[in-house]
Parts: sequence; C-alpha cells; structure tokens
Amino acid sequence: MISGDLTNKQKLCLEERTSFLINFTGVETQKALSIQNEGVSTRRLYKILANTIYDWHWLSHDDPNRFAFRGVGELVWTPHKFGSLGLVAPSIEYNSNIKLHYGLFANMLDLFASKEYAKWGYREIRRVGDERHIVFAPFLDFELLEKSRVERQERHFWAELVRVYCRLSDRALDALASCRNKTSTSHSLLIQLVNWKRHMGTAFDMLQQVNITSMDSVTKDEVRGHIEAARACVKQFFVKRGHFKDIDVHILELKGSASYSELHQFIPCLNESSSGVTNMADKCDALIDLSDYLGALHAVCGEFRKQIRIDQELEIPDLIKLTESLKILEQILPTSTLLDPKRWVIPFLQPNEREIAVLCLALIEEVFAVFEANIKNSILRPTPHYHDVLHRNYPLPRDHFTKGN
Amino acid sequence: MKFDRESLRQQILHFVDRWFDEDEIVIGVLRYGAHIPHIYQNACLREHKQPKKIQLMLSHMIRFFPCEFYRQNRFLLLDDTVYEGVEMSNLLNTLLEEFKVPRQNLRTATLIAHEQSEFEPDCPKPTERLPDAEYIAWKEELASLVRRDIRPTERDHPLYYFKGGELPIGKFLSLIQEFGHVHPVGSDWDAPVFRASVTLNPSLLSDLLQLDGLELDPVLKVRLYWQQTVSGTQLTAAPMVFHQLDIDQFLAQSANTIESLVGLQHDFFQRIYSNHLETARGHMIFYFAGRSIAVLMLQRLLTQVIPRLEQIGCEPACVSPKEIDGFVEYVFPQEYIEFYDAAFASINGIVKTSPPEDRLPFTDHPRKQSRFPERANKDPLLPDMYEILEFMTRNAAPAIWDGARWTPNKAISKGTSHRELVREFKDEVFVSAALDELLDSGLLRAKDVPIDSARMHFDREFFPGGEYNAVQVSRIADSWRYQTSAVDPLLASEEALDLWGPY
Repeated sequence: MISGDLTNKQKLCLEERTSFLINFTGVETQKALSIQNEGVSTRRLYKILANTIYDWHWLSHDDPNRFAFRGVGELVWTPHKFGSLGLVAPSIEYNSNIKLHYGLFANMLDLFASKEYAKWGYREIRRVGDERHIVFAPFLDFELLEKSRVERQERHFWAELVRVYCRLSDRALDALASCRNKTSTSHSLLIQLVNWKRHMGTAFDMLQQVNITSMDSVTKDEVRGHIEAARACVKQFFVKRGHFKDIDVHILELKGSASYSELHQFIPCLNESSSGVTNMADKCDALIDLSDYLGALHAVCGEFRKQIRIDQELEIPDLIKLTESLKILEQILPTSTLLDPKRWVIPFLQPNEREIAVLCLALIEEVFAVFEANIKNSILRPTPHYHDVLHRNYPLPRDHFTKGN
Repeated sequence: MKFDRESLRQQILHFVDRWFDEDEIVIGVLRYGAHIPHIYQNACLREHKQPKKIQLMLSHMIRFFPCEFYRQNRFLLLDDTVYEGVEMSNLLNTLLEEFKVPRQNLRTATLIAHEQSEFEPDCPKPTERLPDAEYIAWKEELASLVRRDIRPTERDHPLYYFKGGELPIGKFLSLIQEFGHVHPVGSDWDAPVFRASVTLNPSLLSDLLQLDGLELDPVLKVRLYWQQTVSGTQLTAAPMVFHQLDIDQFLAQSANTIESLVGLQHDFFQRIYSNHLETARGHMIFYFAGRSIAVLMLQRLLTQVIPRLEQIGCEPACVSPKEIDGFVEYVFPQEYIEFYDAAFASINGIVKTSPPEDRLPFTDHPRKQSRFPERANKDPLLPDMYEILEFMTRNAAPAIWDGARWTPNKAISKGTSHRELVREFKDEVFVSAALDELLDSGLLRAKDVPIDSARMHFDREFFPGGEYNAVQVSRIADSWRYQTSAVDPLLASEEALDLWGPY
C-alpha cells in the first residue's frame, strides 16, 4: 500500500472501514454460530477474514455491477506460517505504542485498545485455553450501520460471505484460505520456505558462534525456539501441499455451507492472479516438487538437533537417515562436495558441533540457491518478502476499488 | 464509475466551454467553486488551447459590493458539486431578495449533483447525478487535482506570490524553521506543490497587541506553498491572524494606526463604514482589519527572510496576482483593490530594497523551539488532531438521523473560535496544525461571523464540514467520545508471540 497519494483523511477512512469490517465479521460470526457469549477465537477470525477478503476482491472485480464493493479498508490476505490470514496492514500512522510486525502488520488485539475499534461495542477479550477470543457486540444498531461508510449492499454481501465461511471446519477454512488455487498455494508454500530458512538459519548461526555446552540457558531456549519454529514450517509445508491436492473436497464442503446463499454459484473465487510483477501460479508445481528436498534438508538439520541434545529427550543421531537424506539432496546438487557423507559423519562422531553447524548453514545456502533457481524466485528474509507480497506481488486485484475505501 | 484527474480535467474543460458566457460574472461558491476556473485554465494551457476569459467573484464577498453593481451585471453561480444545495440556495436567495437581482440575470451551475439532491441547477442540462460513493470519489479526486496547484484554494485570505531562483526544499524549510514552528499541511507527498505552515512568535506584532477595539490572539501564522519549476522556485504566502473586533472602538481608536502602518489612505475604514449597508460594513471592517494585520506580519517576516534568500542566491521577486491568474479576472470590490495595491506595494518595496539582515523589528532572534508541551497521545490509533472535532460537536451534533438516513445538521448556528480551541487544548501549535489539516480536508469550515445582533462585534469561527463530511465528523466525534477499557497487555503479547514469534 503506497500511501504517498493518500491524504490523512483518506487514511482515516480506510481505518474506519477496517475497524467496521472486523467488528461486523465478529458480530455476524457470533450470530451465525450462536456464540455471542463465547466470542470468536482470533485464529478463526483471521481465517474467516482471509477467505472473505479473497472473494471480496474477485467478486467485485469480475462483476462490479452485481457486486458494487468500494474497498476492503486495510485488510489484506496474508500468507502466514499458520496458513493464510486476514490481517491489518495500516497506511495511517499509528501512535508509537502499536507495533507493526515486519513493519507492516498490526496485532489485532492492540487495535482494540483504540477507540476506533472499540466503539463498535466489543465486550471483552479473554483467554480460552491456548487461544484468545474476542467477544464482539451481540448486534450493531441499524443507525450505526448506516453511519459507517460501508454501504448496504456491501454489508449484505460481506455478511453472506462471513456466514458461509464461519460454518466450515477448521481444515476446510484453512485449505480455502491458503490453497484454493495455484496462486495462493504458491504463496502459502513459499512463506514456509521463507520462515524455515530464517529460523533454521538463525539457530545454526547461533550454534556456530558458541559451543552448545557453553551456552547459557536463555540462549539455548532461543535456539530451541527457532528449531521448533522451523519444524512447524516443514509440517505446514506438507499440510498445504495436502490441502492443494484435496482442494476439491474442501470446495465441496464450502458449496454445502453456501447452498442456501445467493453466493452459492459465485464462491469460492478461484481466479489466478494476473496482477503483480511475478506470476505466482506458474511456480506452484515447482514448489510442490521441492517437497522431498525440503524434507531431506530438514532431516539433516534434525539429526544435528539430536546431536546437540537441545530437547529434553535423549535421541541419538541416526547416521543412516543422515546419509540417506544427503543422498536425496545429491539429485539437486550433483557436484557439491558438501554432500560427501564423510564430511558429516566425522564431526558427528568426534563430536564437533560447531563444524556441523557450519556445514548445515552452508548446505542450507546451497540447497536454497537451487530452490530459487527452480522456482525462479528469490527466497528473501521475512520482512522484504512480506513487503514484496503486499507491494509488488499481491495476488488480489485492487485497482477497481474506490481510493480511500 | 472510476474518476481520475485527467477525466475530471476534461469534464471541467468541456463544462466551461459549453456553459460559460464571457459576459457573465462567475460567483465561485466556497472553495472549489472558486477554483474551477483555475482548473479550467490550466487544462486549456496543457492542451495549448486558448481559455475563455472568466470574470470571477468570491461568494464570501457578495455583500462587499454596492447594490448598483448587481443591477448592472449578469451572474453565474458556480459550485463544483451540489449535495443538498444549501449554499447555492442561500446565495441565490441573497441575490434575489437582498440585492433584487432579476432572476433572468442569474444562472446556477454545478458539475455534478448528489443523486438525493433536490436542487436543480440551471446548467448543465441534464445534470449529472451521482450516488453517494461516486460523489465522494469525484470530490476527493477534485481535491487531489486542486492540491497540485501553486494557486491554493484560500478564498478568505489574500495571497502573495513570489518567484526566484533555485531554492531546494531543504534550504527553504531550514530557513523558515528559524522563525517558528513549521508543520506540513497534509501528508500526501506526490503533489508537485509542498504545503506547510509556520507559526510565528507573536512578538513580531507586539505593538499591535494592545490596540483598542482589537483583540489579537497570540498566534500568527503563514501558510506557504512551495514549488520547484523549470525556471526556479515559486512561493505563495497566505498570512493569517485570529482576532476579534469591536467595530466602534476600532474605528474610534485604532483604525488610523493600521491604515498608516499598511499604507492605506487615512480614512479607509471610515469610508467603508459610511458607504456600506449595515449588513456589510461590520464584516468588511473585520475582514480588512484582520487582513491588514496579517500583511503587516508578512512584511515584518520578509524583512528577515529576503536577505537570507539573497544570500543563498535565490533573488526573490514579487509576482502580481494577475500573472498567476491569467485569463481568470477577479472582480473585487474597490476597497479590496485599494487594500491589496497598498499591501503589494509595501511588500514589493521590501523585496526590492532588501533590508540588511540585522535590522530586526524585535530583540530576540526567534528560534524553532518546543514552545509548548507535547500532547500525550490519547489514543493509540486516532491522530490527536481529530479530538478537536469531538470538542466542537459537544453541544450540537454535526449530522442527524431521520430514521433512514444521516444528513448534515443545518441548524448549527454557533461555531467555535480559535480562542476557545486554544483555551481547551492549551497548545497553540497543536491547534494551528490541526486546523490546517481539518480545513484542508473539508472536515471543518471557517467563516467570519458577527457575534452580536447589531453586527458590531466580529470573530472568525470554525464549523463542522458540510455534506458527507458532516457524517464523517460525527463518526470521528463518536470515536473520541467512546470510553475504552484496557486490553490485557498479557493477552496482546501472547497473541503477538503466537502469530509472529518472539524474534
């Protein structure tokens, strides 16, 4: 969102629309599921928003007369390690105590500390198990609805979309948010690679600097956290691959949920993106083809994890698995001396953890260089990656919306 | 329907070519009505077309003219848009009933009308009507077009134009920052014209703070417009002061002082009082008194700025408004012409003679300082400036609900003065910057108003914006009034940790 040509007033209008749509989503979800007392979990809210945002853009782009939508405020469909989410990427300059992750994304709970978001009457934010729930207002007065700049037809169709998506299972909700077509699947797979590299790279970087036996507990925890995060990324990579493969099943579930909605024949929108600098749909097959190599790379790193005993469990490195994984990687790095198994087993046996960390880092760089060549796309650090997604390769059309809405 | 600057330019070009008569005097209603002729002229020049000559009057000056003036001419009342037609109707009724202009000598014109508007302009026929969202989009696009003009939409404040050699924006800002607090007007950076205001030290006019009949707020400002062109730099200055005036006392005790300082004839204000109707003279005296003090402020500022500009090789020169206005020929009352000629002559004199830098009218060299305490951010998201809208609308809602629609509240008769704002917010610089933004965005309007029934005491007051802006003012005020409860910071940080990790 390049805001150089937006006035302060237009930025405020965007924020007003955003706060309304989020609250409206929560209220409609609560009504549809009769959960006015429990509220909506933030994770589920983000997924509902992601799906609604996706259809919102394409419905109005393809048929602006039937779907006269003015904009989506600052809500953005965002590829994420948990699967795609609907988040807020503000153009207004917040006062200093709202953090923007990666310089882009506001924490939704921080926003509800503001009058602009709170004024729609949310009742509380509470912890429910491991999750946070926002308990929205049970209803919104018609007078207030009319005062918002979101028009009647917009409110009608937004509510329709929310009611359809909020009834889906978690799995279907995630699948449709993240992998409904090749474009979104590409984004969803790529973000796992971005995050995996970041986490695993950071962990090994720390491990090559200080021997694990000399590490203080705080630093060890940090290393462990990164390795766990990387592990989650690999898991999600394969989950998303599975979602894409089974997407027809999830579309069927959606059609069932939408069977009594006038949007039944229109959603889910499966348009591949033609905007953006890069055609992400073309990369989907290439990304999926990387699965085995990602798995092998992660396995190599995983054996090191066992070596350094970063977890409480006493696992012993499996040298068979290690060398088999290196063999798989030979398919994409046929001439690399890095994959000579002797280079690995010696430091494992010595043991020389620092040497293994250095080897892992070098291997990550070489493998990812091949990944980039195969998918014809750089795998950046998260901050520039997200800036690239929002500003250059956003998968949804937005020029057709009214500026400042 | 999508609008962009080019389509609007074309629309205005065709509209003026088709509907304007060069023998009519165009009365530009409020800001954008008065700016349409300039957009038209610029559009013609871009296409190497000869523009029509347009005689243009400003709507806030209609009572400044004698009755005979209205009997001798035909008029086109021009506004960019019509929402409900309130301003247009008021102006039309004033001309018909107060000045007895025959109806056949009046035409009303607007480029577009809101689909709900009952007002039907005389031209164009048929009138293009737009629903709410398109109406707002059109209006915002017009605002974007206007912001690109070195000739701003200030209609209430006389403008003073300058040109010179190269003056990069960094040097320009460093220079003016020596004289007071500088803030940008608006945050959009892609227009060729940079807009800023400098709030000056009131000691610049210390000799005027005790004049009888005149209460001057200790806030002086100059709104500046800077543009780099192929031939150098262009600057526009709109000096402003905030004052209250007791007409009788001012005329008796202080008018001569102002006349002598500005270079006006010695009975300038008395002549206005004698020659104009009761409905006009108080406002005119208030207007010219305030603008006289403003130009004095500008003169004193220039005595220091000009030498500095020359030092950096800028070689400034005054530019006559006629050069800027081109084919748009302003129709001003005689008193305005007299006033502006005197003001221009004195400013031109300062620029040409370039006084030595050390001849300062006050002892302390003004510095940019934090004169006023920082306002604590009251809300993590809403810019502080919008709190002014909450304050201003406590006693009268800007928009009212009729069961089906929100409409602007036309019954608001009392605005808010600058003095009241400073008393409430205790920070003149904050108020100055906020007013710039809110006026520029249309969320506020300003008017000179009589504060007594005899029209002998005047002040300048601010009102919530009209049209769709009234509803937005209402929304913003609602937000500010809402009492939030704190979000448990532990939950917020857990959420952040969950989504983004600790690193």
